[in-house]
Amino acid sequence: MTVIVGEREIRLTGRCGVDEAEALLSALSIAPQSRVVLAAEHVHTALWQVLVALRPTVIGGAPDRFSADYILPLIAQKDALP
Amino acid sequence: MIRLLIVDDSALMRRFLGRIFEAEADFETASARDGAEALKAMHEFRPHVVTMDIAMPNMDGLACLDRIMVEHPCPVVMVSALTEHGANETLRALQMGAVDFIPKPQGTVSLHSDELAPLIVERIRAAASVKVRTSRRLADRVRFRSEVQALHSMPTRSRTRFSRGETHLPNDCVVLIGASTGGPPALDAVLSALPGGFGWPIVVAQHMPASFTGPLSRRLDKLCALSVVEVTGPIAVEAGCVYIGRGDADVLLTRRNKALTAISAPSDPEHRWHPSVDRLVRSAMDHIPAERLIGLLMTGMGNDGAASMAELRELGGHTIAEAKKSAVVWGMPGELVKLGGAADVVELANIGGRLLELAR
Amino acid sequence: MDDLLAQFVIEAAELTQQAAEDLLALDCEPGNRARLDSAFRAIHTLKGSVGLFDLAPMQGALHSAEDLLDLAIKDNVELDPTRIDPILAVLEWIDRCVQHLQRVGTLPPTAEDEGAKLVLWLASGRAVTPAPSPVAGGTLPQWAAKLFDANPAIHRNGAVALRYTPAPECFFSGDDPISLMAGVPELVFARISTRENWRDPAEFDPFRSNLIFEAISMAKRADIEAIFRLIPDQIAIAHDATTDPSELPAESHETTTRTIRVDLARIDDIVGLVGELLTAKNGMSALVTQAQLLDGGLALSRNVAALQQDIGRLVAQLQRAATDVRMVPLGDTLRRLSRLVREISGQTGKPLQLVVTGGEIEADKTIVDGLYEPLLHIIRNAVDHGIEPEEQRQIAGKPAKGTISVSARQVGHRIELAVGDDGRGIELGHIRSTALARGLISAEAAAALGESDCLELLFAPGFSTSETVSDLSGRGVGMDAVRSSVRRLGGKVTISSAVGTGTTIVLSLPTSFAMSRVILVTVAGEQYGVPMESIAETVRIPASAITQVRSNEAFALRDRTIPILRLGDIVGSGAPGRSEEMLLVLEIGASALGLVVDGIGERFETLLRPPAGLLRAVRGILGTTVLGDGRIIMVLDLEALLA
Repeated sequence: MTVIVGEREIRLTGRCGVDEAEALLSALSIAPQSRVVLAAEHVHTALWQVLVALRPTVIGGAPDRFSADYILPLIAQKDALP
Repeated sequence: MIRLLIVDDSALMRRFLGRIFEAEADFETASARDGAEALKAMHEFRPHVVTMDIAMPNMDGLACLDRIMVEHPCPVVMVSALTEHGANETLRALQMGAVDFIPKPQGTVSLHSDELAPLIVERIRAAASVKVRTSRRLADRVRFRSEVQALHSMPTRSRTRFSRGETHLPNDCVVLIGASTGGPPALDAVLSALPGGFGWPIVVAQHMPASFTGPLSRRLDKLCALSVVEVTGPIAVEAGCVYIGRGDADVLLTRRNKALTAISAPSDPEHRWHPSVDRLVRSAMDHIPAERLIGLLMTGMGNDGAASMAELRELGGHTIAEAKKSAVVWGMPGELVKLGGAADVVELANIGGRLLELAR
Repeated sequence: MDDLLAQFVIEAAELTQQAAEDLLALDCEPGNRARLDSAFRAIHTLKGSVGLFDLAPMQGALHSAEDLLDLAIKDNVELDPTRIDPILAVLEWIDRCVQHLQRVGTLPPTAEDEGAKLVLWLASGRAVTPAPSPVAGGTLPQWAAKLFDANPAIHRNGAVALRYTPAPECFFSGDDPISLMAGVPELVFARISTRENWRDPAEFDPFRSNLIFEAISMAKRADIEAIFRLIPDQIAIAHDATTDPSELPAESHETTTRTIRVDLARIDDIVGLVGELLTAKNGMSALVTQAQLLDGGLALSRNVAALQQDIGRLVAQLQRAATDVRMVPLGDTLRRLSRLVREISGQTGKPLQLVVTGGEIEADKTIVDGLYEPLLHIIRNAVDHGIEPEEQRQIAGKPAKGTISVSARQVGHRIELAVGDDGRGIELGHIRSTALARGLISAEAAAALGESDCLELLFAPGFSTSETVSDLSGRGVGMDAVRSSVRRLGGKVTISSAVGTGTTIVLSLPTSFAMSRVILVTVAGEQYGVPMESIAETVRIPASAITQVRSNEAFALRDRTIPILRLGDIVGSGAPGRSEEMLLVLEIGASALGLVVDGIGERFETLLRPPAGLLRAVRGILGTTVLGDGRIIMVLDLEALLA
């Protein structure tokens, strides 16, 4: 498991493959207040999408520049995407 | 020596298949260009197994299959195009007694002949060892014909929908079905034996290409009292419904807002066959207590589902393995029995009845 | 070449031809279910064969074509031209791809793009106009222009814009779009939007991609294309190329064609030998039969049959190769026309312009050479009778310069050459009165003629509508000469005209002299070959069924009275009638004819040699061919004999 669900936080570690997207979604829909800790070396688009759609509080670093520069700001955005 | 008859109107396809089997020491091959030649070869060459193209001039693959089943019962493997049309014809062929099908090569990078060859050989080898039961096949064929008529004479049908209400938790019981080679007709036999008011939702992992599960679902939906749908996205499961996992992908059970939901997920490369029965059963066990699950493992090559269903039984769930006598290929159910994971071993004709007893 | 691929090349050609024939038949007879089924089967089989190789663009186009036919079969609807055309286009394109595959071993570099366009055409039923070439300069697609506009700080020179719209199902095929985007080098800007609004968590499907990426990179276009090469359908890349010379396509040194000059006679010798080889192969059929009769000869006969098949395949390949050598571009002949048009313009004082397209299309040298004469007649006719004098054109509101257009296109295994003018068109009344005046038809017949029949009169021998015999065309060599010279090349001529706007004459010709199917007939102890294409059926009737109609004979076949000719009389060795007669029923044009022969022999496929030497002067000989046992026989040109 690379998506580790704790009491108040959900940690993404290692290589988060596409199959983990449902686990992340499920965890976030049960506990929407959980914060998500990014500690993974790779995060599949499917998981990023869940984060962009649900916009939880995210801490930690993105695994690459593209997600740092363009995805994290999107998750932090308080207005919904068009 | 396994005698293989290749029936295809394309010389290229005959050569392609011929070449694959020439490399196998224990195969002897002959080929036929159409149904008429095939019937002649059935007589002269006496094959142990036949690969059959569907679209051919003169006598097409289905007509030829029908004659073979009566005149020279023999395992026939359809060579099918991965299209909606191909899927429907193949499902008909399976209903008529073909034991399996292999997809026509698609030319994608992943399907080069070197990779494809071992898979094809494995499927044909397995098919060659299948005993085609003439009497049953004949009965099936008669039934198939009456069904076809029924399909046309049954435009609408009223279905009693069970409203789930808010007290949903105790109702979260699910039947999980895994099947592979020989699965479509077996599913038909089991599902059509269940009444529309069957109280548990049913989720099915039938190994198949993506383009086949849609036609399979629509076909079963017409034939059964239960309503049958293909799982292509998240869908909340309800009693009285059957959920067929989309092919070439996996089908999982999850919980959304407490509602039990089936979802189609990209296939996990850790598993060889898709939709993976093991993955389905394990996802179900993550969200539902084992005692509210029934696992049914039916005909199919390999061992998918055996390990997870054995676990399911250990945790207090109920498991059924199809009996050797009725299974086209007793691979998956056989493994489950071997692992000591089958609570019941039941012949195909009685599985529906057994499910009714258990799901009361 | 891999032998599987070699076999594919042969099979593909047969299948495309079969499908094209079926579709063309459907075009005339949309309800023909057998043709529809046959076309579907051919395309289906072809798609299956393509699947054995890594030819995704072909696979995609065939798949769409198959779907279209499948739908027509299932819904039992007739195929209209809007659906037949794109399928034919696919077949032609497949032919081209296969030829390229055969020559070079790969698909043409443009295949992916062309395939995608054909798929779109098939889907929409409309031709897709080619997208403006990115090298065209300054023509940025709208999305890219917007993207640049949103980032005025970024210097457009050398910047590449990309728009990546991952397919919703892309996760299922293993794609990870953000990883791909992370791999784009020298990214200076990116923005992300969504395909549709996010669903609420209960319905949210985490396995459907919903993102759209737009970005600007300073990297080389080719490097960016490489990243997305596997998903060309999901990516658009554009750059402002006006100032970027480094991206211009480099001259390729590998494609320089290396040629040698060869005397045509030598090539013809090879083609002739191939034909004989083919005949020799046909002779093996007898061996198969002989071997079968031997004790335990079944295995031998099977081996011989297999060998015969292999040789047949090789001969077919050789024949195609030899035929290919004779292929030259139509441009060789079409170029000569511009001089001709200038000359005519000078002679008539009518200002003219010639528009030629399709010069790159290839056909057998004899056909290309043989086209000049009919084209000359057609163009002279067009200028003489079609294009109005300058002042008349001005009154009619037409440009002063008359336009003659010659456009060639390949249609399956044929070329279609359309010669059009923007002149006054042909008045049917005029044709009727002229035909009447020339005594070609009676007054009642003239009145009853429909439009196409009326135009058909133009082809009648000795018809000329010019009131004044001009220097150019009114010399009695009219359309009949055109038709007969085109027919000699194995072609057909059709004409259509609209009064006031012009006339178009379409020549349909084979691209090469293909194999003919011939049936052997015996007359007075002599054997002749008759081309199968003109034979509708063969029947045996008692002599008593033949009735005398004036001086001619006729018989009734399924409520149709069919006139009879005796082949013996025609070839000059008449024989007495017998109690039972053998007839070939021929369909020539719209009429049928019974031809009495003494016996009918085997049918075979052969390469006809054009009549040579003394035979060239004999009317009614299509050519000669060599039989399996070495005998040379004459193949009759029935249409010429019966004319």
